[in-house]
Amino acid sequence: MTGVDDASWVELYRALEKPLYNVVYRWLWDRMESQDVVQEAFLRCWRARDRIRAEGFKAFVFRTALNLAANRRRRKKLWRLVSFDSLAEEPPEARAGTSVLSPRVQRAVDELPDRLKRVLLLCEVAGMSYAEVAAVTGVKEGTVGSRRNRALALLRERLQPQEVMPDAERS
Amino acid sequence: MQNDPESPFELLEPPPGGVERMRARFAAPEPSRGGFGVAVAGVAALAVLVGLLALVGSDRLGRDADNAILAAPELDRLLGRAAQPMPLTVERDGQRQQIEELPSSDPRVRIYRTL
Repeated sequence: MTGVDDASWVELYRALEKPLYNVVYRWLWDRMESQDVVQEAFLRCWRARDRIRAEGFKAFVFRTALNLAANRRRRKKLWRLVSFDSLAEEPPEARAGTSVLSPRVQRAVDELPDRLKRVLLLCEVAGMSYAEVAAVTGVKEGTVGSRRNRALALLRERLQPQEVMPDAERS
Repeated sequence: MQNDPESPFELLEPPPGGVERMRARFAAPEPSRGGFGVAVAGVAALAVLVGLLALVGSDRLGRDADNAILAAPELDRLLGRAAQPMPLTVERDGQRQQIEELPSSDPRVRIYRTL
């Protein structure tokens, strides 16, 4: 990635911010923190620009962002364990006028095993091909396909409309 | 912007101003690699140096039993002291050998031979 000037890096960021942000957001569920992770991933790529090949850049930046997000998520979970506190949620005013997902959807995505979630988000949210996802995750394309199908099935199962039980059956 | 909160793959808009913040971060000076490690090593070296100077400058040196360790010959070179002759014993197959010191042109080097 030598010979790419800073303006081009900004253009790269402009092009990849939204898909990256959407993947990271589904890891952290915090808008500002997700954007910060995306920028940190970009900065790391920029600092390593002498060692990155242009064709491998997309996989590199997604992998970096996913690793950063996973680390932050682990730290937050640990902190919640230590402080007996719930994960900090964004104040309502921070979300006003912005788009967020329902708690039910968040929970369903959160409950997916990490390896399935990575593949699913890269395919469905970032719109990457199996080959691209394989480059990010380091697994074979066939594995990407099977993980994606498994993740979709789990998600469908968890997002099925819940049946309302009649009062008599509840007691 | 309105979205469908029930769709897990709905593409959400990032917070505004991201591109400007990114541009500013690219323009910020790049931190030097290993800067933190170098800083820590520098501070540690400085602390050791200050500690040694404080001890060397102290008039308790050599008088205070607590500072006996500073009189250790291993610190002679570090503290710039003239090396004191050390008794030397040489053993071969558990038998103590007689030795003889030979002249040396370098005051930091002592040469012995077994008899």
